[in-house]
Amino acid sequence: MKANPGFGLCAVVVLAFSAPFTVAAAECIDCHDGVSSGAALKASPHMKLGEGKAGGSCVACHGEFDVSDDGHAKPPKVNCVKCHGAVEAQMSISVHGAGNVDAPKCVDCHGTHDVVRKGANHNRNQRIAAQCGACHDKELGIYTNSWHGKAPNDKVATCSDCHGAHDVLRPADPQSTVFRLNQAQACAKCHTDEERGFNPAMVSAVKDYFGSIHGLAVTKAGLMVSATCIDCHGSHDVTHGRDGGKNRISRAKIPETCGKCHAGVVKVYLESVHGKPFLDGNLDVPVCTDCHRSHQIRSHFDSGAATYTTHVAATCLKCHSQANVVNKYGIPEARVPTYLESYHGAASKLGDTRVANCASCHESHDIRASADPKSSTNPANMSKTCGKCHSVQDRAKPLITGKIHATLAEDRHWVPGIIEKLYTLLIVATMGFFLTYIIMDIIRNVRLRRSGKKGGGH
Amino acid sequence: MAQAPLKMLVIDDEPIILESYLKVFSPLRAEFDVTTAPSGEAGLAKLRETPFDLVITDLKMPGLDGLGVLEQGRKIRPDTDFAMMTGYASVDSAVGAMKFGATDFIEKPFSQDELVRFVRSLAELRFSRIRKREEEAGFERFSRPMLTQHIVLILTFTLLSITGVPLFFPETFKGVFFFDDSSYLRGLMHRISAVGLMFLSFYHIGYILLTEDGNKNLRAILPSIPKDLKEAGGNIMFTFGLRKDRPKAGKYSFFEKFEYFGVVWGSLVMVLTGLVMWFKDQVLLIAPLWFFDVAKVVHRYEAILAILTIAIWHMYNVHLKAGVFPMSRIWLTGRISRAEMLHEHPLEFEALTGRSADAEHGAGGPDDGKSEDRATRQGGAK
Repeated sequence: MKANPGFGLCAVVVLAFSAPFTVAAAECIDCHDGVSSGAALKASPHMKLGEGKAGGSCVACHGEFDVSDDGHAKPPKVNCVKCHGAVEAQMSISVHGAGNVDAPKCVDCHGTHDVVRKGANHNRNQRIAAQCGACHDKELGIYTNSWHGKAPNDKVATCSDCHGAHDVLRPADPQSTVFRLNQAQACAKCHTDEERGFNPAMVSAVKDYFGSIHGLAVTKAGLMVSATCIDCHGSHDVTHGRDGGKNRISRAKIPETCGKCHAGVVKVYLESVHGKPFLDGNLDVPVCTDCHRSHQIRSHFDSGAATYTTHVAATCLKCHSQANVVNKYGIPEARVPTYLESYHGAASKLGDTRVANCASCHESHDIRASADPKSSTNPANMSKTCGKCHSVQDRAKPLITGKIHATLAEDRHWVPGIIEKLYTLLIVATMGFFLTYIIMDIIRNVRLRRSGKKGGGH
Repeated sequence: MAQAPLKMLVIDDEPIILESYLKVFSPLRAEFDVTTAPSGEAGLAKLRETPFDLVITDLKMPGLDGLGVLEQGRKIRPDTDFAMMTGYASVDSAVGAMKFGATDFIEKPFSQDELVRFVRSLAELRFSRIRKREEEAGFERFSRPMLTQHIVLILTFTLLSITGVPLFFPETFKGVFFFDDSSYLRGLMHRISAVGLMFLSFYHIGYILLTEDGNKNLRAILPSIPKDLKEAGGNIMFTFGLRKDRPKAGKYSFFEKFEYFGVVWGSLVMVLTGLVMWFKDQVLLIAPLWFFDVAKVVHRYEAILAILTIAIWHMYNVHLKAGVFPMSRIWLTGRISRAEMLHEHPLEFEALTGRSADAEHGAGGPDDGKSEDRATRQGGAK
């Protein structure tokens, strides 16, 4: 067996203390050889028990009884609660409590002579999982394949970190740490702790969740159906965000994941100009999180939301300004810049919340090409779309037939374009003349002053 | 230009005196324009009708005497100079008349030469007095109502610019609009200022058509081709050093007329295109979309043109150029200094005073300690 400091320590302890200790232990050890030679026992915190007491560490747990002859009576049942009194209360209300005949006993999880301190050794997560997995084997199987299960360090979450140890309650129990409304805090315990060496972006994302619409619904409104961590990330099966196609939060899976609750929206989305290619396997199209984000989802009435009226153009711009996207799919160019140059765009940038943004005309989930008869931008529907804000009667042909997005100079009607060019010319010429005249006037005056100084009078 | 003749009224009960005046001054009619009256009352009656420059009256007359003419005449025409003719016996009263505000007196009998010298000295004194007053107070260029209209224009124009420009640079101005509804307020203030400008325009049209002052200024500012073009061309050549002397302008130089009609045109254009955009829902019922787009383009670019013109051209020409830098006070007081009048609007000076601008221009030199305007600096013929 490996030499370990505990061994040495125990040796010192054994030597340093009085005979009764040694004698008692020695008496038991005479027969129960296997126990005493275990490094585990010597390393155990229980070794210190019975120091200075008659009977030593063995009797501390097993109690005093007569060892006079070989066949001593069965010792009384070891009762951990004698010292660990607080645990009894926890255990009694837990799901593993008194009434549960299948429930583990102390020794089932903690061991007997090899009881170790909480922070004492490696692979804590797997050791604990193995303990629980002795009964909960299905979950153990899932956990072992998960990101937490596969992680090579001790700090990673294991069964007791989420479910509790002595106070495990059923998930349906409102007091349980994994009750739906408490669940996010269980993850947050580790995932908001910067000391653990997480990516700071991830830490702030998790903190953002609690301010998001899902987080507030859960923590403030107690809404059971609102999304918590496990709805998207899984619980025992939590996988890293970038792990392949099975992962619930990989791009290809996001509409399905969000659609678990937002079924109506996803149905509409899948019929849209973004959704149809998605069904064909195109992952260039935006999915839910591209517009709404993930941990910072807020109502679009909230000025912090990515979908707030004055932020919508920037969100759409993310794809609709990129040359590779625009070119690849033949999207008409400069749609968003023409919006930003228009009164709607300029006022929106100034913070006006009343003016139209992209979604006001194009809808948000139900975006369709204008040729589609159901599209909000189909000429037949234009008066209804514009009519959402403007008092447009059906007679307003210009709005129905005019090119809304065309830039001023290019595919507009030619008249405004010509006027713009003429004005530009006029302004440049006029200002050019003004500045030249002014400069010449200043030069003339300076010269006059200089010659005047030299010449004296006038 | 030829100086306008001095208008003289001579009052004496002796016809011989009146005839001798007429005889003496008829060869000098280019300088002196003589009118006679046989009595104090007749003289005052004539004075009420005509603003004479000079009244020479006999002291002792039946009916209203010289002192009476002096007293009442000064009330009727405070700007007219009065002189007395006295006989030997009434020198004391002549001296007394001086205390009543008469300028000078001449003793009878007097020779022709003495008379002419006397009248010339009176004319000199008068001229000096007037010049001194002009140098101290200048001339009225704009009446109070005109100044007020201008200030209202400044206010509406500034407000319109401030509330309009953010739409050109929304990224820059985002932080300025930091409270809810501030974008709505921007739009509202823009429209209110626009309505203000419309009211000002209507008022101004009424003013120039229906008031005397307005009419006068309207006539002065209407362009007269080819005179104005010649003046403009000459001005440009002078500025570029291709000509030695500046062409003479009247009350409004070519560039000032251009600016005025620029404002007229600009306001009209901005108001019309602004209304098209304000009531776009109604306009689009009857007009094609490109019409609306034209209104947008015009409104935007005309605004740029107007703001730049005011900021660069108007500010330089009115305030920043040599002579009045850093600010001309005319927009506050309505009065223009004598020297600036002679320099910038010599023809107007001649029209108002009847004197030649060229003659007086050089004579306002640095030794003239009374001059309050900064235009008369040392050095530099203007």
